[in-house]
Amino acid sequence: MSVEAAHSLHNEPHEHEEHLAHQFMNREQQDESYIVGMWSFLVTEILFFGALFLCYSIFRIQYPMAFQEGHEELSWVYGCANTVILLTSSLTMVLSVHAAQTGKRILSAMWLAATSVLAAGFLVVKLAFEWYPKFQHHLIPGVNFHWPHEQFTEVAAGKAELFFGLYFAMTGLHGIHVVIGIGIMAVLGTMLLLNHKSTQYYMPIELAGLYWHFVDIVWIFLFPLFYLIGKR
Amino acid sequence: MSIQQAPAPDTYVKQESEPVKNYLNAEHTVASWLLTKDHKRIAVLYLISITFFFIIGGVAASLIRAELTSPHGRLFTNDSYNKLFSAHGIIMVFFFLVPSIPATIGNFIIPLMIGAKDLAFPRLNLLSWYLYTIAGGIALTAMIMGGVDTGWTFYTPYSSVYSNGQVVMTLIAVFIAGFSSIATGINFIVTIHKMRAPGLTWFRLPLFIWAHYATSVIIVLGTPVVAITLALVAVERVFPIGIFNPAQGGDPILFQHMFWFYSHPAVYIMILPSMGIISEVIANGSRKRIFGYELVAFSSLAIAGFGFLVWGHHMFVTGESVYLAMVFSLISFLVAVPSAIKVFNWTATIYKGNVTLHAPMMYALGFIGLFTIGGLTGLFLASLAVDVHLNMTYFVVAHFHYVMVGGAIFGFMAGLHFWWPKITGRLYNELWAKIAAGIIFLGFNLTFFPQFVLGYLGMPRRYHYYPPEFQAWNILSTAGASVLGVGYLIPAVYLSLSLIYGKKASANPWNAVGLEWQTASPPPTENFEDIPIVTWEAYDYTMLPDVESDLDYSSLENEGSVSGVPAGGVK
Amino acid sequence: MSGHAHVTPVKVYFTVYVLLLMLLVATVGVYFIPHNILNPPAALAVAMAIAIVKAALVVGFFMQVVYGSKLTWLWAAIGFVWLSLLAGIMIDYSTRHMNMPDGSAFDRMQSQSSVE
Repeated sequence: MSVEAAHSLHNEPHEHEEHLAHQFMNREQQDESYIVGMWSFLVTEILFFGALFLCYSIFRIQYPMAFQEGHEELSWVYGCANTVILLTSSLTMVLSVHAAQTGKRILSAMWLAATSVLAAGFLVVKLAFEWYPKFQHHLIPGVNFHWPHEQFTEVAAGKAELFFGLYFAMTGLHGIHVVIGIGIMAVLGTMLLLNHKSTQYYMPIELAGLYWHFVDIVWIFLFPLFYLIGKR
Repeated sequence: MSIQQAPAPDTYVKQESEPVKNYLNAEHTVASWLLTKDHKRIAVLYLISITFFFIIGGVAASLIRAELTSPHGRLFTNDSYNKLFSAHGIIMVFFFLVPSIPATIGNFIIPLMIGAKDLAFPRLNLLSWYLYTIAGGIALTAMIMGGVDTGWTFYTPYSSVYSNGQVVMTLIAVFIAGFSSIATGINFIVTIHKMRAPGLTWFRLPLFIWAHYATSVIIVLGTPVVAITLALVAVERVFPIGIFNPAQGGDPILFQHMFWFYSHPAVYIMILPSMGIISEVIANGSRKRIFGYELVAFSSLAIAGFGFLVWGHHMFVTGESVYLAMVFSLISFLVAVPSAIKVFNWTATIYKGNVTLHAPMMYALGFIGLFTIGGLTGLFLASLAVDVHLNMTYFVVAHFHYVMVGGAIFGFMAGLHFWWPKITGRLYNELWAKIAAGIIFLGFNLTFFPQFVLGYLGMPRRYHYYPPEFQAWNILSTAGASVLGVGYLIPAVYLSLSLIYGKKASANPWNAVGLEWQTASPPPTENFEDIPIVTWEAYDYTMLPDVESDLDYSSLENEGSVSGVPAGGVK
Repeated sequence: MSGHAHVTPVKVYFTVYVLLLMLLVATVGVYFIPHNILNPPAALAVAMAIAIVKAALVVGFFMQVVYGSKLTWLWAAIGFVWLSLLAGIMIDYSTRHMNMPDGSAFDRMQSQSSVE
């Protein structure tokens, strides 16, 4: 901010004063603070997941066969279905933000509800159709892990366990973020329906949107890295 | 809201010193403190908490030194000694040094310095303190339930597979503390970008702000990496996912890479805010603008940037390629350039300045000397061949204590004394402060200089048995630690007493420039009655009236400036 | 409820969504190309390139960074830049064998992975 900002202070209309937190001078300052704050939080998230992607890369280079064989236990159909679900939920999320920006409160809440239903659908596919069968097939590291291909190939069970360790760590951390996202959307949707003071202003929904798109982006990378390692 | 021109600089010194309402007496209930969103109150809460953890870490340090007076380890079993130095390291690094300056002095002073009413996200700030407190509680619980014996570095696979202590619980504590510092970092970044007063451009900012900006960037970019790394260790103790376990094809060296990717920059999280304080204090103590302001500002960012490229110098003996090690060694040497820029520019500022040796200035001068020793011995360790000899010896311990204690804590003490009148509205006893500063300086050198010798002679760190010929050096070091301990107790006494018996401080007891001195001491809840408009550079001491005559503080003595400042200062 | 925000037309959102779905089809399509036509590293590179384009579309339009201020650009970019620094850790893994003048350590690692 420089001297120009000082001039703009005088031109600033005060009709939105009620949505202005006391520490800010005007709405522009407040809006950009929230956006930059959210982005710097997402930077921490990028590096948080990034370290896991680094582990993945290092071990995939070292043990290509273990990853190849491990990924054949995953179904690309479920992965693809979940990608479609998450991409669609990103669309409903931006529509919710758009509705909030144009003052359509109920519509915004409806799109938020649609987003959280899709997010719940993602979790159902993930847990019921993917994680639960893995449990039955003894593919959870540490829980009676059993690698059925050991006698046929030379992939050591430990390395397969490493692959599934990474799979569960990365999709698990992503899943936790999905659950948190559903929580945020449920709270914001309820506040919108009750016409709560905080959501009369679109910024909270915009910030929830930024978070949700980030969750989507993580999945955009997880999908090809785990489900599409390569056909033999 | 009304925006008015700031008071003309010549009204700086004489200001109303008795505010009707300030942040301390605005409300008195316990809830008004525990649920406060005021950055000043949160800073005070943080100050109390980190002092508590400093005492615990300090007690652990005293016990370590007591144990090392004998070469045969008479006081503790091997296991207890392992847990003791781990506790000292974990508490001091994660619960004292990392949050020490940013969360207390930074939290209090940054909004005042940039003319803002508060940080950008006050609730996030409060959340940060709660996360810190919860994390500290968990860490203490883990310690009471048996503690950990991994050292503060949690190296795998010992920590992930073999150690029997409360590793998971301690890791959870450090993980939560990481999010507490991320919250502070995000808050500072946004505040410094967006909340500056009109006219306060980047190159008019005090260097304290630049240092905190660089620190916050490191916190935001580094902490998540160590958080996920430690989380993986915790997960690996429960489920054998094998990432750090060589038995499963995992790689324990990968842990060291990811750990030091944060933990080396974390050293700069501890030292950069301290450097910011030193810039403020040196400018005030020399009554001059910091020489080469822009270079000092950019050197903070350079240190933050280079800091992320040197993690490999902690791993010269882990089998990394000598060519890669050469690159890491070279970049580590390059970090010395921005650090030296700061040191030379501070000394150039003092040169021909109107030097006043007040207590903060004494700490600042101590900082310059000790940080130089700490930094230069870092170059020994960054040299490939020398590091093979010195790695894992007491030389390393002495080196990082010179940077952490001689650097970070001296800066913290300088800042605490410098802004104590602003924070509490009271003046401390300047004579005792100077005596304490001298004792701390002597005690510190007596404690840690012998450790350089010990390390060079080959005494490994983290052992309590050692050859008897090292005993004399160890006893010297322990004697120094006792002096250092006394040195820390004196400020605890006179600072506490000043809260009750101290003279009321004026708005600007140091006769300093900077927006934080324009508002009352202690400041009102909203910080400024009118948001200032800044038209001047930082440290413009020429705009203070009659600098020469004001150096004789006698005219201010009655209005409550710091007592005991030598009349006329030292030229 | 209106603000100073940039309100993107809904048409843009739907276009981006359709593009994302098309890229998803493309990435699955690449998966089915036999390895003798597209070798695994190339397939990985294509899959990652597609993922990066998809992520860029989400960041740019859904997260509105293309309409954002310079500061938003800066903070949106810095995370990805730092991620590449973190990836620098991999240099260690590709250079460790250099400690052996004859590359023997590297050979040992190679033989290990061929045994698996």
